Amino acid sequence: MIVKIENLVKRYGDLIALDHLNIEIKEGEIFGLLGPNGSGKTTAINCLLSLLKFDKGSIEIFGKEMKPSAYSIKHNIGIVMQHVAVFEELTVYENIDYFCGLYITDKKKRRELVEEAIDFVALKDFVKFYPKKLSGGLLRRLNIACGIAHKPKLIILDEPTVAVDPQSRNNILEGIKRLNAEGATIIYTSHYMEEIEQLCSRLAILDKGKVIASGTKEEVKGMISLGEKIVVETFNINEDHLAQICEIPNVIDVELKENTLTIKQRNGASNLVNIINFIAENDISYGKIYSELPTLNDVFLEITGKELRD
Amino acid sequence: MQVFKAFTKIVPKKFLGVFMIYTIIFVVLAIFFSRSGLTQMEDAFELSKVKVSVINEDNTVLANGLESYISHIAKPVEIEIDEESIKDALFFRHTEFVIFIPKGFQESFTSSNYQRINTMSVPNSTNSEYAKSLIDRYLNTAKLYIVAYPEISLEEIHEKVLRDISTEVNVSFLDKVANNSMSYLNGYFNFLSYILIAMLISMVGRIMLIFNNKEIKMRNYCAPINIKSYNLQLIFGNLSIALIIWLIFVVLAFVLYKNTFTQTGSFLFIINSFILTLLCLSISFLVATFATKNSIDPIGNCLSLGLSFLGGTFVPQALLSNTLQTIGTFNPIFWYIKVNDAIGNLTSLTQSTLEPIIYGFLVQLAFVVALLSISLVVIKQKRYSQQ
Repeated sequence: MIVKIENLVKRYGDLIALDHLNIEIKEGEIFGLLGPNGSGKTTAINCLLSLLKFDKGSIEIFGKEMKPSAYSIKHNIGIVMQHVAVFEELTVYENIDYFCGLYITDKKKRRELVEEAIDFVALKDFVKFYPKKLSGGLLRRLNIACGIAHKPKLIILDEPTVAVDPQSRNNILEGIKRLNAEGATIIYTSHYMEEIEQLCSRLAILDKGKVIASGTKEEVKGMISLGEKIVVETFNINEDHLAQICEIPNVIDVELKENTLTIKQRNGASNLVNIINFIAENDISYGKIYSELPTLNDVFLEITGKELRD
Repeated sequence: MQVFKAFTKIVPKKFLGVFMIYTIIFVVLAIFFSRSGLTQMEDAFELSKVKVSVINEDNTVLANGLESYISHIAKPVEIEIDEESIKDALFFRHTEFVIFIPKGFQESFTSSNYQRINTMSVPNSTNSEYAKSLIDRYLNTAKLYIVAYPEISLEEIHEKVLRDISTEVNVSFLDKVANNSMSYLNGYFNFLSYILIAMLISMVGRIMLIFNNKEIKMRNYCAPINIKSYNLQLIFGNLSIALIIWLIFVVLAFVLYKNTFTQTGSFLFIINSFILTLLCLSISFLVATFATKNSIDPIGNCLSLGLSFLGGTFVPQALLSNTLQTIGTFNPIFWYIKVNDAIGNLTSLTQSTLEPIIYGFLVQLAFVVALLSISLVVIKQKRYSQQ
């Protein structure tokens, strides 16, 4: 295990920010921490990095206890903070060089690593720019370069795509995959389920400081009763039709919103052919019909009763 | 030394302009203040002139001689001769002293029957006493010549009397004799307190705000760098800036006032300004613990101007009221100026003259220790509250 968090409790007065949090992260995986704002993702990361004291529990990284003075552990960790942490008074190059220099003392090696990091985030044309002159997306890329320049074994990215344009977001996500392919273990926190689904091999969903579900995407989705969802764009469906659809075996819920009919199936069951037959037999006019698997939002919704972005 | 290196990159980029502006303002004002004679003590002597009116009814050689002498040494005021007008002139202070030289004055004066001169003056006036002494001086000297040399004419006696009593002496204060250049240096180093405190709060405060930025600080704490080493590098960086600034201003002092470099007081001025630099640095550290990006300038201006005004940087301490002087004992700048003035007035190096200076040094150093301790406590408290 690269990271092992056991029974972690963090309180702010009466508020329990982390409630007996248990997480294990294996070497080489991209582990996602998913949860709405205020669910405890950043608090967990800050405890993991010994930036915050916690009330109970233990944290091990690379098999050793993590504490503020654990410099050998810190040496192998790269951190990309949620808020951009760069010096406005230094250029792009100087910033990356500064943060890399906190880990690498050898000048020659550092120069090579800084150049590599600049290439990695595609900031070569902006090396002499000051952060103020960079767009939001470029600034995020600089933040990432500062965090990964020293080639750490474990990289923690705390919501690195907040307020980033789609092009930069794709660039960042592709970069993270490349870092993982090069051997780094990644911890990725986000409240964007699409990113977690796209990126992570394993994940934990957090709510009110607790892990409410964890495992691979498939395992997490398998934890809920919901299976596939059949979506039909329809124009002349009535209440009788809806009642009849509800009686089809394994249908657990039917929902009509404007002209979109969503039919939810029990986990493990497939009803696509039955639904198509029903539509044809009842002469219901339709636009398109498609089937989709449950999302992480469905998982969150079923477990907590609220949407991820509520 | 990564933090210190970043420090050395940021400072010239961000603060060279600030430093240049402050230095230019300082040099111009320091020269103005030191040359305008605004020193801590009034060191100019001016002969006071009394407003005197002479009513000369005798119109003889001696009476006219006395009148011309008084007109020369006092400020003659013409008034009307009736009693009412004379009283009005005295009441409204048009004149301060009225002399009546009666008819037959010369005759009586040269004979054995000495006739007194009548005078009227503003009550309880020191100036009228001074005027009386002027008349006595003239008449007593004249009487002396008349008795000693009865054969010489009254015209000759008048000339001899004038020659004798017109002898002037130069008045100078003992502690200011041959000490003008040291007085300039005193003014320069006094004014340095304002510039140093304003400059260091502006520079050190802003640098600390950059490195104390929450995100930067947390990011640094994630790295394998000891917090103590991180803070020490910051302290070392700030100390370096402060010492460079101090050194520049010390060199500048001896560039502006070349002939003072070899004098004993100069060395003491240098020591005092060095302690002041440490003092300003500790004030800046304290300010940086609670100031924000927007509040650093107003706080810096209030502190630098407030402490300097109350400390006697701009107004001589001798002119401060007793209350302000009492309050001043809690102001480190007050002690700095006090020590500077003591050095400026130094005529010889003895234990008794050095004692107040060394005491002032120690008081300032105590302020440094106290301010730094408060800063460290505040920083520690902040760190705990963030966790």
